[in-house]
Amino acid sequence: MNNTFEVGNVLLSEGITPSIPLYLATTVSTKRTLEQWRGQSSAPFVGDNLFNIYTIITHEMLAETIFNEWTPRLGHHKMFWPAVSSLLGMNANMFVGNSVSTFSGFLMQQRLRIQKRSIHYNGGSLRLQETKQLAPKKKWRTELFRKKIKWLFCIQPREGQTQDSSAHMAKVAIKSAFAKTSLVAIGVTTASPTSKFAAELVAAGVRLIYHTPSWVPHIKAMISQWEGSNNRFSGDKKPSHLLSDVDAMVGTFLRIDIPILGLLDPFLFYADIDILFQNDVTWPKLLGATDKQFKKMKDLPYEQQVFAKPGQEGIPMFFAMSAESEMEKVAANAGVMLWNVQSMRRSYPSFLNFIVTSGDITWPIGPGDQGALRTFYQGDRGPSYLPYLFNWKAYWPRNPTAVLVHFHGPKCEGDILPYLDDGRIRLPLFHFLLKRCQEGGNCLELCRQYMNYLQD
Amino acid sequence: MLSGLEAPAKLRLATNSPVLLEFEPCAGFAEQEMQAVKALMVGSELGAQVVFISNNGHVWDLWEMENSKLSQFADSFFRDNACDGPPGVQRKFWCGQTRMPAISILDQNDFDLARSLRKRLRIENAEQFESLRNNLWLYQPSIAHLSCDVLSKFPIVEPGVEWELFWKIWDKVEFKQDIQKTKQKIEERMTLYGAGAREKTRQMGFTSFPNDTAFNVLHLRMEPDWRIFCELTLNASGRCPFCFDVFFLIVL
Repeated sequence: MNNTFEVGNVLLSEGITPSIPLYLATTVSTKRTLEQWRGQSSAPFVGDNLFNIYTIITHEMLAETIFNEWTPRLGHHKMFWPAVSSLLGMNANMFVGNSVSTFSGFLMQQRLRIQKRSIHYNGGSLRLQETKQLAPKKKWRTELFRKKIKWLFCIQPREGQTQDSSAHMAKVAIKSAFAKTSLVAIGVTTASPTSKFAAELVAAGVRLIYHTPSWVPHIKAMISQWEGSNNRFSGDKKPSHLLSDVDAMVGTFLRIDIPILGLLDPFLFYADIDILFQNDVTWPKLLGATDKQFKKMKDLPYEQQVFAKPGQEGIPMFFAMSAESEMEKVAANAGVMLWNVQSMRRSYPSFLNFIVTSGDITWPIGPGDQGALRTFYQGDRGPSYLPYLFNWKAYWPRNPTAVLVHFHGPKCEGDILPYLDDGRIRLPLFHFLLKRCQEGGNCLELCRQYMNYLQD
Repeated sequence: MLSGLEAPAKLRLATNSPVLLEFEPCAGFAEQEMQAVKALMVGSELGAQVVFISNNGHVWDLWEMENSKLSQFADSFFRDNACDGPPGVQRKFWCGQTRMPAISILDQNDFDLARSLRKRLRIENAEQFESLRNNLWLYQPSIAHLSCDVLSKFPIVEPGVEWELFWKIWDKVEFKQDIQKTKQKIEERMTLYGAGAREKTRQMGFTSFPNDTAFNVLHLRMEPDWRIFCELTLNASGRCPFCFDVFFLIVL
């Protein structure tokens, strides 16, 4: 992994606060050279999170002010700034380095000796220790299964609205995550960092990644192309309310970009926001393994892992999913997933190419990114199975051991509570699921919990 | 042997050990820092005074050298090492009444002169110290050459004597006042930048950091040589199929 252009996302997802300055230790330090660097990427938004969220300080900026009053005799030595940077790196609250660089590796090792925290932004292990130039007993590497599991969710603001139902659901999901689990909550959004919508999420304790997907124009074009067409759901296309809702569709497609955001975690837990956490999320449970089996798994390098066969529990080759509305062992619902970030990252270009050349954003298996994921990743590379407990449906019977309850289809405020109160049905599509709420499902109790979190 | 030399050069060379170690620093800042420490470790093994060539753009031009914590530590360490060793010329030199300097700081001209007067031996690997030490002291005045390659491959592994020694030496390294003062001025300046950062991120929902003077450091490798390394090494090995910029593949 390189992460040169995604470094802003790494900082945000690792919880490195932008409320203090970020000194950039690099020889590329003038405004012009930094702009040239950004120009090397074909994506115009590259580096936005680094430069717009963080307060970047370069040695060029510092030299302009500091050397006005005093000129160091050694200022022209070619190693003057690396020396200053190394001293600053030692004193920094957090040092973020490059795993291949000797400068970074040496500094990280020095900081470790005085128990100061450092991370490297590009994953893997430190080259300095691999080559035994400086090899500590405790090897520095990004663990395959990091101690703190990251929960990723995607959230797309509705234009002009701040308090829509998705904001409510997010609030509840986040609160329940913090109350019931040890997860680190990471949100991915297209919202502006200065919007009230985004600020509220950050204030709630979410590490937010502001992301501009390259494919938004394609999604918009697909929706407008079919708008009002009588053939929208002709043939084997399944109907979905998402197919006429740009914001919702962009919101759901956002998750396909998770592998390219640059997060350091080799495996990530994804769940939509229409959920309620009930119990903690742990690696053994996610992988359907005993503690003993998991201990073996976590000590093996990625290359030596045994990946689960499609439909089986275990370490996913690409991703793991659980059942849709029926309680059957079929990997089908993209609302909750376990991602193998490395393999999804590798296959990302061909997956995206598949989406944009499909001519529509719905497939015989279903609409949106879930349809795309299930169509593209099938056969040998099909999804492995995520235990039921991670995607327990609200309309299924009560289960105190469920880790996460998913309000799959009908939601508390808009659908379930109005239906249970006086039989109101907003979307006929959900009628059969609402009936299951009344006939053995646990919707009422869960929606009470939902409302408690919301009003708390 | 010293006839015909200018008086100051004579004086400098007279203080040099019969056995010198020259090392070839290479690559960047941190590599040179580590190489210098490793050279001192090798020097103590050989009982060879280590030559640091000054004003040549190396990292130790920025270090406090003469009468520094580093030189004092090295002097004691070399002396102790020799005093604990078997009797012989090496012990006689280092363990005598006069304390001998472990580090010799020479400019390029003086170094060229010192080298021209000595028998030269190359260090081919970092495991041949015993025979090399014997030869160096047998053929004195002599000079051993430690290449960048050998120096870089010199392993420092924990746990081990080398690991402990490496850090003991490193802990004595101090930058010159110019560097220290610049760092201090930057840290003072950070308070101002910090106020800006707080103001900017407050509206994004971030809470203020409790320490007004705090800052983070990001060592971002973004220079052209990194791009080349990335394309040639990581891409070619298949470890990182689109490593420099994932976006170039996906902009529609």
